Amino acid sequence: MMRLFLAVLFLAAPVFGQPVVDQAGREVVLPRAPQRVVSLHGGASWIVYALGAGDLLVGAYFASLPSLPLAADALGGLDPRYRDKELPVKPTVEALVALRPDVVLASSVVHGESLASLLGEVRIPTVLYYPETLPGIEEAILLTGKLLGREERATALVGRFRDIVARVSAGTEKRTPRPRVYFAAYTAQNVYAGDVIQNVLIELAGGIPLGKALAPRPGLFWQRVDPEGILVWDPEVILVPVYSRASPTTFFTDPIWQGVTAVRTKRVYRFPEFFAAWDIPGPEVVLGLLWLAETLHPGSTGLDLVSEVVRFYEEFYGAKLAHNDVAALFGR
Amino acid sequence: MRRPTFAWGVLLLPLPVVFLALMVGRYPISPGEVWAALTGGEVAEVVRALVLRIRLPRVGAAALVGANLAVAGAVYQGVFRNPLVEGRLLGVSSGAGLGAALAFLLYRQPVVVQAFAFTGGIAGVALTSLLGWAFGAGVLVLVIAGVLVDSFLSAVLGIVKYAADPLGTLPAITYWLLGGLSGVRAPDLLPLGIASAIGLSFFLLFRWRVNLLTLADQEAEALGVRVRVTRFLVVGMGTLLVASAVSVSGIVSWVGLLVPHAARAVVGPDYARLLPAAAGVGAALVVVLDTVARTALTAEIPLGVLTGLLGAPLFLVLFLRFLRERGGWR
Amino acid sequence: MTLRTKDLVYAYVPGRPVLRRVSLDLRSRETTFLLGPNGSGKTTFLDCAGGLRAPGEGEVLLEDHPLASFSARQRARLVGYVPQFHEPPFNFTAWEVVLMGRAPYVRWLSQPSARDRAAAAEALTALSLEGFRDRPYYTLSGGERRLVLVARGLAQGAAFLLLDEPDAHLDPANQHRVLRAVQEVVAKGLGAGVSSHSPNNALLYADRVALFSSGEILATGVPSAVVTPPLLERAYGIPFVAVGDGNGPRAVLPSLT
Repeated sequence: MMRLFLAVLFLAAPVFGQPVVDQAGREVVLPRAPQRVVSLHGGASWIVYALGAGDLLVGAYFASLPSLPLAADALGGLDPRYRDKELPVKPTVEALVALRPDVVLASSVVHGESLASLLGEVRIPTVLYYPETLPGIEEAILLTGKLLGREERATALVGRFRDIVARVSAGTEKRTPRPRVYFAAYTAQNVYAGDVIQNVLIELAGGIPLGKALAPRPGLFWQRVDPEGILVWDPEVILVPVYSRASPTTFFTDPIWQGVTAVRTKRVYRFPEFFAAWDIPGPEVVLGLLWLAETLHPGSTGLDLVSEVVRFYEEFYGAKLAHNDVAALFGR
Repeated sequence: MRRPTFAWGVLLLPLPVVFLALMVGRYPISPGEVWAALTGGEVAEVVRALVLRIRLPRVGAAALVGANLAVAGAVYQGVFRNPLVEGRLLGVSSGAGLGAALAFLLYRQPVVVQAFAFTGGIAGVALTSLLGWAFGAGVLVLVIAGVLVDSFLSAVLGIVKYAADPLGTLPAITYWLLGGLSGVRAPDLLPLGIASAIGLSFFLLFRWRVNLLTLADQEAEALGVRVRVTRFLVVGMGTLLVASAVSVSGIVSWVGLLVPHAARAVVGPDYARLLPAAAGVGAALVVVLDTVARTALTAEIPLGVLTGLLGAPLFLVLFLRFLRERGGWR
Repeated sequence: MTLRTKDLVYAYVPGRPVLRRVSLDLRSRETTFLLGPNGSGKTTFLDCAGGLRAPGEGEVLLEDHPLASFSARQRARLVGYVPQFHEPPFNFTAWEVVLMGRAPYVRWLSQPSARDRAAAAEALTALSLEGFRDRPYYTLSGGERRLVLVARGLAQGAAFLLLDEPDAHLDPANQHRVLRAVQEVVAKGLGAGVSSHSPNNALLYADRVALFSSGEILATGVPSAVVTPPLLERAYGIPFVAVGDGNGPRAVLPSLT
């Protein structure tokens, strides 16, 4: 606290130097506009790119890198050196210091106060992120905007973000019947449990998240379901994320699942990805929401998915994607 | 004492190791710069901060953690007359884990977590001792009480984890339990330093009399040792060492078990020589391993993983040697 | 000096005493053997006489001072104890084991002094164990281990030494070496109490014998007076015959008829 107080006292500068409250409720002061940024939070890394500040990144943790050639090309266009910047989620402090960052964006869960106070010893400010909900993602975008001096753009992006969320929820609010949706996690029989963002997306998109009622395993976000439980639930839609060990084929071939409505009606889907998986907290979650709403209730949002995707990457990342290429990703 | 100077020589082993460890890191700093930073010479501000405020506290903590775990392990092996025990025998780690978990639930500042972990560790052993004392303070009873308390506190820790916020507090608890010294800062060293100074200097003075506690209770009584009181004090001091180490490093396996045997292989079982040697070997070993943990990869390698990788095979070698020497297990 | 026990009563289980009013004096320059069947109270008696167990009734006096009035440390300087079994968890050397006998002289938070080392070295010499000084305990034979323990008792510098079956599990030569060594230190002024299952060893090495039976002493006296077929039969419950050369028995054996 004392150090913070002194920092406020002595380092206050006209534009920067105002305390910013991060997502762990800490006050952080940046003496000047950062020129070198390290992000150790997957979501925050994409937000930095979204704010057009990719050139400021000197090191970044990406929870996953794009596997689609189209997305990899697009990212290469945004930042040709992104592969050199990749960091592990918990780099050593000295590896961080060696990058000489002006600010480190970190996870309040994975890194927390412990890393922040250690970096404080070498006078590197740390901002902690916790964007695990939709409002949390909006907050993270605005926070990063403030930190990087790009508040205007951040506000505009959040506006677009809210816009899409509002369009989706308005479109799906009254839609019935609401299908029972099973969001698999890392394997077919692990379902996202509790209030994780995947279940929030299902509800907003007009579905019933089957895993929501379960308590997640300690330290994890999912719970295991036994075969009988699956038959009792009888999911009508099954979602499989790209990072899962399971794939739609798993469900179509494993005998346990053959009696399930979703398998019989062939409503087992890969949850899409582009830069990151669309169900992982970050700006692209809003596209995941839109895609899911259009998948559960086609036509409900009144938006054209492909056009919205092209528009999103142009608005958020300045990446110009060809309409046909994107349409091909969705088999259209 | 046949080789006293040798054992004390081992106690000095950490000094060069610590100095070498200060030279090594992901951030390139030349030995000359390290020296300048240590002696207050002319050097870039970031280099000085790195050496004095990042590397030095961490290396110091590693040395103290290693010495504490090794000395406590050696002492516990004698007091409990069992070469397979270590300092965590009496519920100190589950107590510390529970304390840390509660601190994460209530208030997440690292200092508070450390204080809670330390208190929890002491409380765990106190509970064990209370149970053991109630049933006669025999060695076996204490060990059984330790197993009971350990499993009970682990269950309570399970409840706390279950109650914790799965998106925030819970992962923090899990990361803490994994252990390691990556977050150590100079202020964290103060309580560890005080506890280590008390515990280590006690054992370095008391070291010869630890021999007497390896005797059967009646044998020791016949030699004028007040066994219950002495054992209580020695276990208390051992707990101070382990709890203070665990509260900073989390669970670091094997050191408390392995280092005493390694030191015995060099200087023999006499505690008068063993304890200085164990302190030296323990400190040097953990400093070396932690240096690997923080420099081998860009990412931090959990210290417990390294000690485990090294510990199991090395222990097998030492233990086979021990068995051969004793001519079998019984 | 005399280590005197008066009317000792001791019960592990209330109402079932293993010692019933036992009185026996151990004297300096005397080896007193305690004979008697298993469970007759010999070991319990040694524990009480050594101050390791507090008797339920009666008292232990060292030259008119109750043993219980001494601190543990003072007591250990007066009465030493040589256990039957010694199984250290670690392989201490003979020297390290013997040096532990100096515990009552080494103050808390200090190490054995030069005087303590000299006393331990002297004890090793007294039992001709100099050659075993640096041998690890578990590499020693049963007889050598027993001698090392006697040396530890000697290093303790006590006026009395209590030995719990020092001749158990040893071959005749080693029994002889150990008991001979006890005789030699007794000749230099110590008093020894030795529990044993061998009446013949009592005949060979004892100055006095106390014959225990069911927690009481049947007889006390010189070996030739106590180690006799009638008394042994009363104690052990089987007939014995004496083998002798006219000057009293040389040995007693169970009668085969």
